[in-house]
Order: sequence, then structure tokens, then C-alpha cells
Amino acid sequence: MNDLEAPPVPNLSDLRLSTRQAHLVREITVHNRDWRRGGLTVGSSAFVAAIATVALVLAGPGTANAFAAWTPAPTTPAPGQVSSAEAACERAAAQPPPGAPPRVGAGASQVSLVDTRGPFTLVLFGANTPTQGVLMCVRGPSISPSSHMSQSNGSLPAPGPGRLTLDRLQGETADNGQPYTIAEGSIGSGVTAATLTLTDGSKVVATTGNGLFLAWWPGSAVVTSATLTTSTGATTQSIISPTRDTGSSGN
Amino acid sequence: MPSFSEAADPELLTMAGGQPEAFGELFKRHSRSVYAYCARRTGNLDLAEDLTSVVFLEAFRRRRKVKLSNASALPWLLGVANNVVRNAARSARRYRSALDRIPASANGASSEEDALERFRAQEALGRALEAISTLTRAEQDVVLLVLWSDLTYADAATALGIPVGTVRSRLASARAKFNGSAPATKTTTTPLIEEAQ
Repeated sequence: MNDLEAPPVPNLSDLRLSTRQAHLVREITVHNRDWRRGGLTVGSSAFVAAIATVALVLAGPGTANAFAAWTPAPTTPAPGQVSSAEAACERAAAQPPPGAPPRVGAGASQVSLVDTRGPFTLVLFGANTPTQGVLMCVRGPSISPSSHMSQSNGSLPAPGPGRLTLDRLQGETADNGQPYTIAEGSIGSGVTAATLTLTDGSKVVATTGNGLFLAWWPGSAVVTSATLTTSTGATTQSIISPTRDTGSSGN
Repeated sequence: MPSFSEAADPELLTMAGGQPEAFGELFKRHSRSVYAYCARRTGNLDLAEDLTSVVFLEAFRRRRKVKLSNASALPWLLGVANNVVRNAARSARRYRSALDRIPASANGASSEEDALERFRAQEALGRALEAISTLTRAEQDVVLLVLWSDLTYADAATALGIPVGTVRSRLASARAKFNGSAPATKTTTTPLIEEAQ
């Protein structure tokens, strides 16, 4: 080496950097909010489905706070976590509770999106399949199994590039009475990440993929805006939440 | 609607509390420089990638305590990087859970060609670190920031929290030792790597 010349360092690829950038944003989103409120984001459903079926399978021993392990940003799944959730979801779909409306056959549908947050897993089946509707399953500790059905308001127009459409808010209640809310919808082309801002000021990072997004969080807050990341930067879009649907669920 | 790509670094830092994506834009702008600094400081490319993530997590934690005196956040970020690398083991412990959540796709070589390039680069980094091992840690700091990261004397002073004159004198001393005109005492740099691992 001559005259303290700088040794070369190979450039990191754009993919590696963007992956770490997304990780950074998720981490600081998590640490920048009140952990007691917690939040979990999940996959999403289809705006093309005439009838949308939402089945939630929340399994595990009961605790005082069903959502203690919930996180407002996705995490890497543990080995077997996703396959276990998929199996539980399919079992729930195959055995609807008495009086509940019929559901789509999860086993006959493709997995559209999977989101994991700590021990919770949400699997979305059959999104963007016009004739089958969708099936979403959440599996996690401290909540006994339950399932819920709801009917969509029909097809909504696809969002434009860099935009998001919130198709449905589904209100549910855990065994111990704690409410939680699922949001599902679609994202336009170019959107690489979406963070939802709720009426209580908290933020939930959504899982996105296949033109869809899905999120859920403890409580009954609804969505007021979404920050959408594209290749040109981040923009904030105001959201008018649809009516929180709580009336058509069944266990 | 605001576009983070058009905002200056101090604005992004101000916005970061309510809009984490603003801090993501800072990462986008400066992560390569921070990574290069960490790589040259440690001689370990894999470790440098994780330390880069740690630097930005630590910078976010400290953001309210800093008032940028420069349009660029890079001098401040390299100052954070200097402390993170110096205390690599402690930093890694603090952010271990966060590092565990980094997707696997962000780690390791992506191809045989990439692996070979990284191997050669690490050899070169090792030789460079050996070459400056005769300098004191303080002298290495200014070499890393001024000569290897292209900061101005003033920016290096900002990064290290020392007067500009001290940067000049340390660099002069480093050059004198390196050129053999001053007595040198060898300072090992490898503990930085071993400590973090």
C-alpha cells in the first residue's frame, strides 16, 4: 500500500441494501410506538370476490393479554410456523361451526400471501380468484381457536399506480374479550411497502405482495392514512375506512 | 404529497420520528458509505453489513440528541459508526434481536463470482489494516475518515467531536509514521473483529 491508499470495498447490491432498508424501517416502526398497543399485519383479500370468507384460527393457551406477543411489523417465521398455520386454517375451513355460512375450500385454493409477526401467522388463500372468495387464517398463542365469516361489499376498483385501496375492515374479539381488527385491500403497481396509520396514532406495517396487503392489530382503531413506498420515495395517502364489519362472524 | 427523496438530510432526521420511511431514505443515501467505513475498520465484509444496520438503528435512537451542522448527515453517521465499531460486541448485543430479524436474502454472497470478489476484497482489507496497525487508534480514526472515506477535515472533526486542528495534527502524525519518519508502535486492529464475533 502506498501513501495510506484506501482499500477497495465491493459494492453492496441494490437488493441487499433495499432489504436492509426495509428491515430498518420496520424495526424503527416497532420501537417508535407503544409496545402495549402492539399490532400485527397480515395478508389480504380480493377485491374481485363477490363473497369473501374470513376464517381466523387463533390457537394456544389462554393468557391475560392475548396479543402480548403481537408485533406491528412482520417478522421472519420460525421453522414450521407457516405450514402449521396453513394446516390449522384448512381444518377450520373444513369444519365450519354450527350455523355458520359455508366457506371456501382453503385446501383447493392457493396461498396468496403469508405474514408472520412473532408467533402469529396469517395465511391468505385464494385472493384474486373471482369465483372462490378468500380465506384468511391467523394462528398464534394465547387465543383459543375461533373462526369468523364476513361478506364483502363486492368488487372494488383496483388502485392506481403507487396507491392503495382498503377493501374491508373486519372487527373480531378474542376469547378474553379483547377486540382486534383486520384490514385487507389492494396495492397499485410500484408499491413496495405500506404502513397504515390508525385513528389512535399507532402505525402498523402491512405485509404486501401479489398486489395485495393485509394487516391486523389489537383494538378497534380504524385506518386514517397509509404511507406507501415506491421507487421514487414515500407518499402518504389519506384513507376513508369502510364500516368496521362485526356483525357476520361466527365461531 | 411530500417526497423524501427531495428532502435534505436534516429534514429527514426531523421527520423520522413520525415517519420512519424518512429514516429509510437516509439509509438509502448513506448506507454504502457507512458500510465501506465499517468494512475498512473491521476487515470483515459480513460483519460490516450487520454493523451498518446497527449504525442506523443506533443513529435513530440518538437522533433527538443531534443537531446537524452540515447539510449531509454522513459525518454524523460515520461518527456513530466509529463508536459502534469501537464497541462492536456491546452494539451487537443491544441489537441482537433486530439483527436476527434481518431476512436471509440480505446476507452472504449471492453467487460464486460474488463470493470470490468478497474473498479478494477481504484479503486487501486485511493487508490495509495491517499496514495502518502502526498508527494509534486516534490516528487510524482520521485516516479512516479523511483518507479512506473522503471526509473534509471539518467533517472528520464533526464525526469525531474534536477540533479541526487536532484532525490535521493526527493526520500529519499518521503520514509521518507511515512514511517511516517517526517512531511507530504497532497497534493491533484485529480485536475489533474478534470482539464483535
